[in-house]
Amino acid sequence: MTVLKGKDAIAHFERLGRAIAESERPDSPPKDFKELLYRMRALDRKCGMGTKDPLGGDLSSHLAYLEYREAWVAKRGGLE
Amino acid sequence: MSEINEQFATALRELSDALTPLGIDWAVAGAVAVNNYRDQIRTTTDLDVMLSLTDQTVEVVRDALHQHGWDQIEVIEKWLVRAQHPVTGRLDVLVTQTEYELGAIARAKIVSIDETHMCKTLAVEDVVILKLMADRYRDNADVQSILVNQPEFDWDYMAKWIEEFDLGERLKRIEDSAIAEGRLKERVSRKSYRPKGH
Repeated sequence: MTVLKGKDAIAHFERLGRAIAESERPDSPPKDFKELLYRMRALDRKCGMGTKDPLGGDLSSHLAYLEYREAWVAKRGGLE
Repeated sequence: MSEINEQFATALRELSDALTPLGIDWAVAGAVAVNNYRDQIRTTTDLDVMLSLTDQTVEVVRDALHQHGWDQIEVIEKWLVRAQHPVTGRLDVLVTQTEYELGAIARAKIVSIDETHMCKTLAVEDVVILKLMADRYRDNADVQSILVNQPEFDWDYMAKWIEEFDLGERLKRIEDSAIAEGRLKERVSRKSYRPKGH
Protein backbone atom coordinates (compact mmCIF):
# COMPACT_ATOMS: atom_id res chain seq x y z
CA MET A 1 0.00 0.00 0.00
CA THR A 2 1.36 3.40 -0.95
CA VAL A 3 0.97 6.04 1.71
CA LEU A 4 0.35 9.43 0.16
CA LYS A 5 1.79 12.44 1.91
CA GLY A 6 1.78 16.20 1.52
CA LYS A 7 0.96 17.51 -1.95
CA ASP A 8 0.40 14.01 -3.33
CA ALA A 9 -2.28 13.36 -0.71
CA ILE A 10 -3.94 16.72 -1.38
CA ALA A 11 -3.90 16.10 -5.15
CA HIS A 12 -5.36 12.63 -4.63
CA PHE A 13 -8.27 13.90 -2.56
CA GLU A 14 -8.86 16.78 -4.95
CA ARG A 15 -9.18 14.26 -7.80
CA LEU A 16 -11.42 12.08 -5.66
CA GLY A 17 -13.65 15.03 -4.72
CA ARG A 18 -13.89 16.12 -8.34
CA ALA A 19 -14.84 12.62 -9.45
CA ILE A 20 -17.55 12.43 -6.78
CA ALA A 21 -18.84 15.89 -7.70
CA GLU A 22 -18.93 15.04 -11.40
CA SER A 23 -20.86 11.85 -10.72
CA GLU A 24 -23.59 13.69 -8.78
CA ARG A 25 -26.84 14.42 -10.53
CA PRO A 26 -29.33 17.07 -9.45
CA ASP A 27 -32.71 16.02 -8.13
CA SER A 28 -35.70 16.79 -10.28
CA PRO A 29 -37.41 19.85 -8.80
CA PRO A 30 -40.43 19.07 -6.59
CA LYS A 31 -43.67 19.90 -8.34
CA ASP A 32 -44.99 21.82 -5.33
CA PHE A 33 -44.40 22.59 -1.66
CA LYS A 34 -46.25 19.48 -0.51
CA GLU A 35 -43.97 17.27 -2.55
CA LEU A 36 -40.93 19.08 -1.16
CA LEU A 37 -42.04 18.32 2.42
CA TYR A 38 -42.80 14.74 1.43
CA ARG A 39 -39.37 14.23 -0.08
CA MET A 40 -37.62 15.64 2.98
CA ARG A 41 -39.41 13.22 5.27
CA ALA A 42 -38.92 10.36 2.82
CA LEU A 43 -35.16 10.90 3.15
CA ASP A 44 -35.33 10.60 6.92
CA ARG A 45 -38.29 9.64 9.08
CA LYS A 46 -36.81 11.69 11.92
CA CYS A 47 -36.62 14.78 9.72
CA GLY A 48 -37.64 17.83 11.73
CA MET A 49 -37.99 15.94 14.98
CA GLY A 50 -35.08 17.63 16.72
CA THR A 51 -32.02 16.17 18.39
CA LYS A 52 -31.45 14.46 21.73
CA ASP A 53 -29.20 17.34 22.63
CA PRO A 54 -31.44 20.37 23.27
CA LEU A 55 -28.58 22.54 22.00
CA GLY A 56 -28.08 20.41 18.88
CA GLY A 57 -29.24 20.80 15.31
CA ASP A 58 -28.58 24.12 13.67
CA LEU A 59 -28.46 26.18 16.86
CA SER A 60 -24.83 27.14 16.21
CA SER A 61 -25.83 28.41 12.81
CA HIS A 62 -28.66 30.51 14.24
CA LEU A 63 -26.36 31.95 16.88
CA ALA A 64 -23.72 32.74 14.25
CA TYR A 65 -26.37 34.57 12.24
CA LEU A 66 -27.55 36.55 15.26
CA GLU A 67 -23.95 37.40 16.12
CA TYR A 68 -23.25 38.69 12.61
CA ARG A 69 -26.48 40.71 12.67
CA GLU A 70 -25.62 42.15 16.08
CA ALA A 71 -22.17 43.17 14.85
CA TRP A 72 -23.68 44.80 11.75
CA VAL A 73 -26.19 46.76 13.85
CA ALA A 74 -23.44 47.87 16.24
CA LYS A 75 -21.16 48.88 13.36
CA ARG A 76 -23.76 51.20 11.92
CA GLY A 77 -24.53 52.64 15.35
CA GLY A 78 -27.98 51.15 15.88
CA LEU A 79 -31.08 50.44 13.89
CA GLU A 80 -32.18 53.98 13.09
CA MET B 1 -47.87 10.63 0.43
CA SER B 2 -50.20 12.44 2.86
CA GLU B 3 -49.28 10.25 5.83
CA ILE B 4 -45.54 10.75 5.61
CA ASN B 5 -46.07 14.43 4.95
CA GLU B 6 -48.29 15.01 7.91
CA GLN B 7 -45.85 16.10 10.60
CA PHE B 8 -44.34 19.05 8.71
CA ALA B 9 -47.72 20.08 7.34
CA THR B 10 -49.27 19.89 10.80
CA ALA B 11 -46.49 22.03 12.24
CA LEU B 12 -47.01 24.67 9.56
CA ARG B 13 -50.80 24.60 9.96
CA GLU B 14 -50.52 24.97 13.73
CA LEU B 15 -48.03 27.77 13.29
CA SER B 16 -50.36 29.53 10.91
CA ASP B 17 -53.26 29.13 13.34
CA ALA B 18 -51.10 30.41 16.20
CA LEU B 19 -49.57 33.45 14.49
CA THR B 20 -52.10 34.68 11.95
CA PRO B 21 -54.71 35.80 14.54
CA LEU B 22 -51.96 37.82 16.23
CA GLY B 23 -51.24 39.67 12.99
CA ILE B 24 -47.69 38.32 12.90
CA ASP B 25 -46.07 38.04 9.48
CA TRP B 26 -43.74 35.05 9.20
CA ALA B 27 -41.93 32.93 6.65
CA VAL B 28 -40.33 29.51 6.53
CA ALA B 29 -36.52 29.73 6.57
CA GLY B 30 -33.79 27.13 7.10
CA ALA B 31 -33.67 23.79 5.34
CA VAL B 32 -37.27 23.78 4.12
CA ALA B 33 -36.78 27.13 2.39
CA VAL B 34 -33.32 26.13 1.17
CA ASN B 35 -34.65 22.93 -0.37
CA ASN B 36 -36.80 24.97 -2.73
CA TYR B 37 -33.56 25.98 -4.46
CA ARG B 38 -30.91 23.31 -3.77
CA ASP B 39 -29.80 20.93 -6.49
CA GLN B 40 -30.32 18.04 -4.07
CA ILE B 41 -32.93 18.01 -1.32
CA ARG B 42 -31.52 17.47 2.15
CA THR B 43 -32.98 16.47 5.48
CA THR B 44 -33.02 18.60 8.64
CA THR B 45 -33.46 18.31 12.38
CA ASP B 46 -35.94 21.15 12.74
CA LEU B 47 -38.33 23.57 11.14
CA ASP B 48 -37.01 27.14 11.08
CA VAL B 49 -39.16 30.21 10.67
CA MET B 50 -38.47 33.92 10.73
CA LEU B 51 -41.11 36.27 12.06
CA SER B 52 -41.54 39.98 12.46
CA LEU B 53 -42.65 41.31 15.81
CA THR B 54 -43.82 44.84 15.22
CA ASP B 55 -46.81 44.93 17.58
CA GLN B 56 -46.23 41.83 19.69
CA THR B 57 -43.62 40.58 22.12
CA VAL B 58 -41.68 37.35 22.08
CA GLU B 59 -43.61 36.31 25.21
CA VAL B 60 -46.87 36.51 23.22
CA VAL B 61 -45.35 34.18 20.62
CA ARG B 62 -44.21 31.78 23.32
CA ASP B 63 -47.73 31.66 24.79
CA ALA B 64 -49.33 31.17 21.35
CA LEU B 65 -46.97 28.27 20.59
CA HIS B 66 -47.77 26.72 23.95
CA GLN B 67 -51.50 26.92 23.24
CA HIS B 68 -50.92 25.10 19.95
CA GLY B 69 -49.08 22.16 21.44
CA TRP B 70 -45.43 23.18 21.59
CA ASP B 71 -43.70 22.67 24.90
CA GLN B 72 -40.15 22.94 26.22
CA ILE B 73 -40.21 26.46 24.84
CA GLU B 74 -37.03 28.41 25.45
CA VAL B 75 -36.22 31.97 24.54
CA ILE B 76 -32.54 32.20 23.69
CA GLU B 77 -30.93 35.64 23.68
CA LYS B 78 -34.39 37.19 23.12
CA TRP B 79 -34.14 36.78 19.33
CA LEU B 80 -34.46 33.02 19.10
CA VAL B 81 -37.26 30.78 20.37
CA ARG B 82 -36.65 27.02 20.39
CA ALA B 83 -39.67 24.80 20.98
CA GLN B 84 -40.46 21.10 20.83
CA HIS B 85 -43.80 19.63 19.81
CA PRO B 86 -44.51 16.01 20.82
CA VAL B 87 -45.91 15.20 17.37
CA THR B 88 -44.50 17.69 14.89
CA GLY B 89 -40.98 18.02 16.24
CA ARG B 90 -38.65 20.93 16.81
CA LEU B 91 -39.27 24.51 15.83
CA ASP B 92 -36.73 27.33 15.83
CA VAL B 93 -38.15 30.85 15.54
CA LEU B 94 -35.83 33.70 14.59
CA VAL B 95 -37.20 37.10 15.51
CA THR B 96 -36.45 39.92 13.09
CA GLN B 97 -34.56 43.00 14.15
CA THR B 98 -33.71 44.82 10.93
CA GLU B 99 -35.56 46.43 8.04
CA TYR B 100 -33.83 43.96 5.74
CA GLU B 101 -35.42 40.98 7.54
CA LEU B 102 -38.86 42.61 7.55
CA GLY B 103 -38.48 43.10 3.81
CA ALA B 104 -37.38 39.50 3.34
CA ILE B 105 -40.55 38.24 5.02
CA ALA B 106 -42.70 40.67 3.07
CA ARG B 107 -41.27 39.49 -0.30
CA ALA B 108 -41.32 35.77 0.59
CA LYS B 109 -43.18 33.41 -1.71
CA ILE B 110 -46.64 32.20 -0.77
CA VAL B 111 -47.09 28.43 -0.95
CA SER B 112 -49.96 26.12 -0.18
CA ILE B 113 -49.77 23.74 2.78
CA ASP B 114 -53.19 22.23 2.09
CA GLU B 115 -56.58 23.28 0.77
CA THR B 116 -57.15 25.77 3.59
CA HIS B 117 -53.71 26.89 4.74
CA MET B 118 -50.99 28.91 3.07
CA CYS B 119 -47.59 30.00 4.32
CA LYS B 120 -44.60 31.94 3.05
CA THR B 121 -41.11 30.64 2.29
CA LEU B 122 -38.15 32.96 1.89
CA ALA B 123 -37.09 33.89 -1.62
CA VAL B 124 -33.85 32.46 -2.96
CA GLU B 125 -31.93 35.73 -2.63
CA ASP B 126 -32.80 36.02 1.07
CA VAL B 127 -32.04 32.36 1.73
CA VAL B 128 -28.53 32.90 0.32
CA ILE B 129 -27.97 36.18 2.20
CA LEU B 130 -29.03 34.67 5.53
CA LYS B 131 -26.82 31.63 4.91
CA LEU B 132 -23.85 33.83 4.05
CA MET B 133 -24.33 35.73 7.29
CA ALA B 134 -24.35 32.50 9.33
CA ASP B 135 -21.30 31.13 7.44
CA ARG B 136 -21.17 27.70 9.07
CA TYR B 137 -20.19 24.54 7.15
CA ARG B 138 -23.81 23.50 6.51
CA ASP B 139 -24.76 27.04 5.50
CA ASN B 140 -21.95 27.23 2.97
CA ALA B 141 -22.86 23.80 1.58
CA ASP B 142 -26.42 25.07 1.10
CA VAL B 143 -25.21 28.16 -0.74
CA GLN B 144 -23.00 26.04 -2.97
CA SER B 145 -25.86 23.67 -3.75
CA ILE B 146 -28.11 26.61 -4.64
CA LEU B 147 -25.47 28.19 -6.88
CA VAL B 148 -24.92 24.87 -8.64
CA ASN B 149 -28.65 24.60 -9.24
CA GLN B 150 -28.61 28.11 -10.75
CA PRO B 151 -32.13 29.26 -9.97
CA GLU B 152 -33.18 32.64 -11.27
CA PHE B 153 -31.67 35.36 -9.06
CA ASP B 154 -32.49 39.04 -8.75
CA TRP B 155 -28.84 40.03 -8.83
CA ASP B 156 -29.56 43.72 -8.23
CA TYR B 157 -31.32 42.86 -4.98
CA MET B 158 -28.53 40.42 -4.09
CA ALA B 159 -25.82 43.00 -4.77
CA LYS B 160 -27.53 45.62 -2.62
CA TRP B 161 -27.58 43.41 0.47
CA ILE B 162 -24.31 41.60 -0.16
CA GLU B 163 -22.62 45.00 -0.21
CA GLU B 164 -24.63 46.28 2.76
CA PHE B 165 -23.69 43.26 4.88
CA ASP B 166 -20.19 42.94 3.40
CA LEU B 167 -20.72 39.35 2.25
CA GLY B 168 -18.92 39.53 -1.10
CA GLU B 169 -15.80 37.70 0.07
CA ARG B 170 -17.87 34.91 1.60
CA LEU B 171 -19.81 34.39 -1.61
CA LYS B 172 -16.62 34.46 -3.66
CA ARG B 173 -15.01 31.86 -1.39
CA ILE B 174 -17.96 29.50 -1.85
CA GLU B 175 -17.98 29.99 -5.61
CA ASP B 176 -14.22 29.39 -5.82
CA SER B 177 -14.62 26.24 -3.76
CA ALA B 178 -17.41 25.01 -6.05
CA ILE B 179 -15.22 25.69 -9.09
CA ALA B 180 -12.27 23.84 -7.51
CA GLU B 181 -14.54 20.87 -6.79
CA GLY B 182 -15.81 20.87 -10.37
CA ARG B 183 -19.37 21.71 -9.32
CA LEU B 184 -19.35 25.09 -11.07
CA LYS B 185 -17.62 25.98 -14.32
CA GLU B 186 -17.36 29.68 -13.48
CA ARG B 187 -18.60 32.25 -11.00
CA VAL B 188 -22.30 32.87 -11.30
CA SER B 189 -22.52 36.06 -9.26
CA ARG B 190 -21.01 39.45 -10.06
CA LYS B 191 -17.25 39.66 -10.31
CA SER B 192 -16.91 42.00 -7.35
CA TYR B 193 -18.91 43.63 -4.59
CA ARG B 194 -18.02 46.84 -2.90
CA PRO B 195 -18.41 46.81 0.88
CA LYS B 196 -20.68 49.62 2.06
CA GLY B 197 -18.75 52.76 2.97
CA HIS B 198 -15.76 51.99 0.70
